[in-house]
Amino acid sequence: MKPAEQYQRLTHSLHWDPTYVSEDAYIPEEWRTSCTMPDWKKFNDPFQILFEDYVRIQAEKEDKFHAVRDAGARFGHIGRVDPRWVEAMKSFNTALTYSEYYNYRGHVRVARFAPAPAIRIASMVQAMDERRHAEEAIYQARDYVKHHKSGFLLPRDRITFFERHWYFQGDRSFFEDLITTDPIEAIIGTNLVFETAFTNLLFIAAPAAGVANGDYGFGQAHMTIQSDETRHMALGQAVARAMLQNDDMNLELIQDWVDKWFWRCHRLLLAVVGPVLDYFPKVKPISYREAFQRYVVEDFIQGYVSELSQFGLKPPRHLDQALSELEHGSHTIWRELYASRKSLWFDVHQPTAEDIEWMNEKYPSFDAVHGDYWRAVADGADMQADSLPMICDICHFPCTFPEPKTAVALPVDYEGDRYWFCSEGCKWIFEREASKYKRTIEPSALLLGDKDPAWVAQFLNISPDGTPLGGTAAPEGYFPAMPVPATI
Amino acid sequence: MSTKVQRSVVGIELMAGEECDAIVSAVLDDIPHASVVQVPGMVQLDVPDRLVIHASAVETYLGREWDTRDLNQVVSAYRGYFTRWDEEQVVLSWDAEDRGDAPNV
Ligand SMILES: [Fe+2]
Ligand SMILES: [Fe+2]
Repeated sequence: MKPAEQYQRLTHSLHWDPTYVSEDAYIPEEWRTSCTMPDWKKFNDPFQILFEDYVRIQAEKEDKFHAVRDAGARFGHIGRVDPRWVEAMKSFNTALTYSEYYNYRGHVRVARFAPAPAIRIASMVQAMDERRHAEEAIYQARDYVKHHKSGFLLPRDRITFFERHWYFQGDRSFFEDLITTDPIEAIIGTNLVFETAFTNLLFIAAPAAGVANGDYGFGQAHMTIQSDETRHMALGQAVARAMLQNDDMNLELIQDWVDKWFWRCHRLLLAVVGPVLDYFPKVKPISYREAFQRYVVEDFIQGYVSELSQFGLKPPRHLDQALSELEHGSHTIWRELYASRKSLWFDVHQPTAEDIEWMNEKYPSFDAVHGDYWRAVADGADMQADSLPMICDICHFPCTFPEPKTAVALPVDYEGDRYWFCSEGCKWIFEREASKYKRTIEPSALLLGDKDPAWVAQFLNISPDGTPLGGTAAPEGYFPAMPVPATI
Repeated sequence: MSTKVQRSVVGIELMAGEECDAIVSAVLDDIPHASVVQVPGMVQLDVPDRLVIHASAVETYLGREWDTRDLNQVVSAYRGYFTRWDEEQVVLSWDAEDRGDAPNV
């Protein structure tokens, strides 16, 4: 039997329509897509992967990853990774572990509730991919703990930071939003926008930086993760195309979802990956802005979005704002991190003369806007923030963009509460679905504002000298709105 | 030049190694002016409009059999649509209807 026939047999013929229960019971309304298709069963995943091929190919990817890890331990590469890069991993690896796990949960849900058999199978396979990605991140964390003298984080510290620290609430809220959407929105948000446009910054540009700083395990892990991403991207592109091609009614929804997830991805990656390319690494192969230009502007906007414009799709509505933030975004977030370095568990260094030279070369207005700040630091200014930053009610990053001097904070009143947003993009997202995003927990600035320092230290899991306290014990009176699942 | 997109470049980014070298060599035989850029751990291969990887050409360079499905092991990023991916050819194109090269006779 030819692979294509086999694929039909093992995908479409495994799907059945329920007859013992109503459709409402089978797919509750809140999980049913608002998109329409004349016949969902006709949709095909371009990859058409068979489970037996999937298992064989993934097993080989895993073998290669573990071979690199083993070699790193055996020959001592892991211990020789540049210490600044390991500080990046204390931030990035923690965010990634839980992000991947959230993605796994999201795709299990799409596999259950998506209307097309081919989407359901592809999402099931993707859920397994995401689970593998989370596990690779955990293996890497274990390697740093075991083989690097940097005091890497133990799992109980990692989950506590992810659940409570302000710097990670942006990442956490992004994924909680993503896994509680319409199933086709989940595909557009994850597979089309996040994975096609943005994950190349995470899994190609960041590993290039990792490899340049001696972290071969990170390089190998992320290149194999990104190789799964090729399947995910193809699914996102095919779903978007099919929705736009088959029913004009879908255009408005797809456009809104592209606009929303473009802005959410832009803000999250600028704040979390910007520093991983521009600040942490001693050797910097590519700047955040160059990587954005290549993968987001040239590939996504000038490639996929322009190809889909024949069906009416327009570039993301806040594209220009995103582009105008790139010159200062990573510098702004690094200054924010530097000012709150006492409550962070990774080292936020003062840029060296070499770093500054590189910044000036890659970002022409760096000196005019940020030069004085770092000159003041060099002259001994402390620059400690005495309070937590004011946080945007959508992206949960500080209202500090485009740069501290011209920072924006836009108010919206909703049901008697005042909300603040860092940008037009975040404000638009809130107004479109205010009931989804209304406040369920105090923002950390208010939550921690009047508490004594010991309570705050326990909440943030950081001792005054910056070492993790080593535990998930929450201080009295703290109940997370939605605890991160402790499965991993 | 494809009129379907603003920037008609397709390409793949490959994990460096034997398979990557064979794929790049096979493509360069067909498209000598392809852009090949080395970055740490990876190779970026970009060409105008469309890219066809013929399994037989890759096998010649590798000196062994090569299953096109294994391309998924080494491709980390791409630009363009995969419009065909079977035993003989992998096609990356901005033309969603591109079904690849005519068979060699
Ligand atoms: Fe993933
Ligand atoms: Fe925001």
